[in-house]
Amino acid sequence: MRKFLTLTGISIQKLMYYKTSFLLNLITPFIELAGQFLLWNALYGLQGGSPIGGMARREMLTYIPVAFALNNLLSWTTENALSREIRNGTVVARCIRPVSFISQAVAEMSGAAIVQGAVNFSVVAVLFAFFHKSFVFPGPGAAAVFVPCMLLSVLLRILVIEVFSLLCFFTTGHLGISWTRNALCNFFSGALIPVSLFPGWLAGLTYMTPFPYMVQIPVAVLLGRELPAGLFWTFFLQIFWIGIFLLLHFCIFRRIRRNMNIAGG
Amino acid sequence: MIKIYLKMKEQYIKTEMEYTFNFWMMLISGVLTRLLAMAVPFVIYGSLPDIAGWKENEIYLIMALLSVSDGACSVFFEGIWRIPEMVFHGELDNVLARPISPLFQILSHGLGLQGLAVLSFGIVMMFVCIASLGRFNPGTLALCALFVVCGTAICMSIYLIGNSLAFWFDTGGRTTLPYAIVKLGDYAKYPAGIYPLFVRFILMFLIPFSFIGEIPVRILRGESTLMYGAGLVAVSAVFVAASRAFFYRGIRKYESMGM
Repeated sequence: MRKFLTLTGISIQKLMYYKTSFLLNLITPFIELAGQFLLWNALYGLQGGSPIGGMARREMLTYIPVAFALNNLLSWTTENALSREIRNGTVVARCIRPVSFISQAVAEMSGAAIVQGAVNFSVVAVLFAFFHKSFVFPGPGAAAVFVPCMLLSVLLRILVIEVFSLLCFFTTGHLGISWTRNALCNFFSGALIPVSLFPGWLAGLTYMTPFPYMVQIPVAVLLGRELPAGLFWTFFLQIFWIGIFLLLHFCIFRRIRRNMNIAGG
Repeated sequence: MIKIYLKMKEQYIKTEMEYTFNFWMMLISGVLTRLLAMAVPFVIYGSLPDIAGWKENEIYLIMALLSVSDGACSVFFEGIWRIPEMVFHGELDNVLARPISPLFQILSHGLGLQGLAVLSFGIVMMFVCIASLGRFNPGTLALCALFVVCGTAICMSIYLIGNSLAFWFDTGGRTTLPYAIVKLGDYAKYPAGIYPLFVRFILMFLIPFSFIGEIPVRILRGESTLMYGAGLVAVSAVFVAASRAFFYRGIRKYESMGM
């Protein structure tokens, strides 16, 4: 655990080294948040405030910032750090450290998620404080269940990113893989639009993937909305997907280790 | 000049096609990204009959025009996105030492494979949307060619200004500022009229993404054709000139290695 925390601390220090870049990285996602707010506010305005797809205005306005906070815990730079290291060869440093490969990836991304998460949830708190009449306030029970659900969702996201990054060992570039992952995660996680608004067939398909367990499900837990499976099964499925991605990591990494050549070694 | 430019692009395509998996992965990611972006209005229109009087296919046409311009930018001017990295690593030294315009060299540098897919997807979607709106005729196609040229020029100018900011900000070669500007472009997927006045002003005059998608569709709808048409050409010309001037102003700030 001490090694894990040290790596997490180093990751935070690395992020803050270029201060302008660090601040811009923190602020950039809020442009997206503002865009979503403006769009949905306008759509509800055009509807005269009546519900859209079964979601009341207040529910949607609460969904947007919480989903945003969860979806933007990692910046594009952090998400692609491992992919870039794989492509330029500096990943070798990870292979010689006395900490497992997966722990390093999780520690590094956790460090970044802590900083960005603090900013994101502070913004959500400020929004709730100033515009409390426009939001649905979660009860203490819902908030208590949300915390473990959110932590599992963050771990799942980190593992998804890590496994997709490992695929860069088999390609000559990382952008195609990163963009594909990003597009899939953004849409099917419910970050762009709640999965509950999807047509039935698409929602059914989406719930069979790991993506909604990263954003849609934790936010639905917080809002007290009906879950596709009960609460027990929701946690079970989150842990199940984490297990699947851990398994995928070990399978892919074993194959990589067998083929990996380190210059001079 | 054009011969050199085309030769450079040809070499980039040849190099990229050598790595088959990567080539296809980039193409797939390009199409998937745009397809899923278009799925958002698809879901919205499942619950709403229209958005401020705009039909579903008109919104898709706006998105298709944005895709075509963005894709064309990526294919023809991908080098713009390397400016922050080049500034940070001092790689601009080589560019400045050569007896060819630095801007020309940067514009012709590299080729965005994803852009190739985005461009193709955008063109197909544009034709599909025009056909579904019952406007598939030579006049509309000629107008669309003009929209694409102007849209690409505006898009290139916005990206060039965004990336040239790296001359002023020390961001370790990886600034998110240009991406923030691209994110603002996402607002333009929907008609600016639904947003508050200040957002409309930004989308029309400061970062004129509305002139890439919405204004051309308004022209096709027959709304103030002359005024919007003249505005489109004027905005394109002004932004190309402004971005060029901004880039060369930035070069004067360039301090070579060790920034």
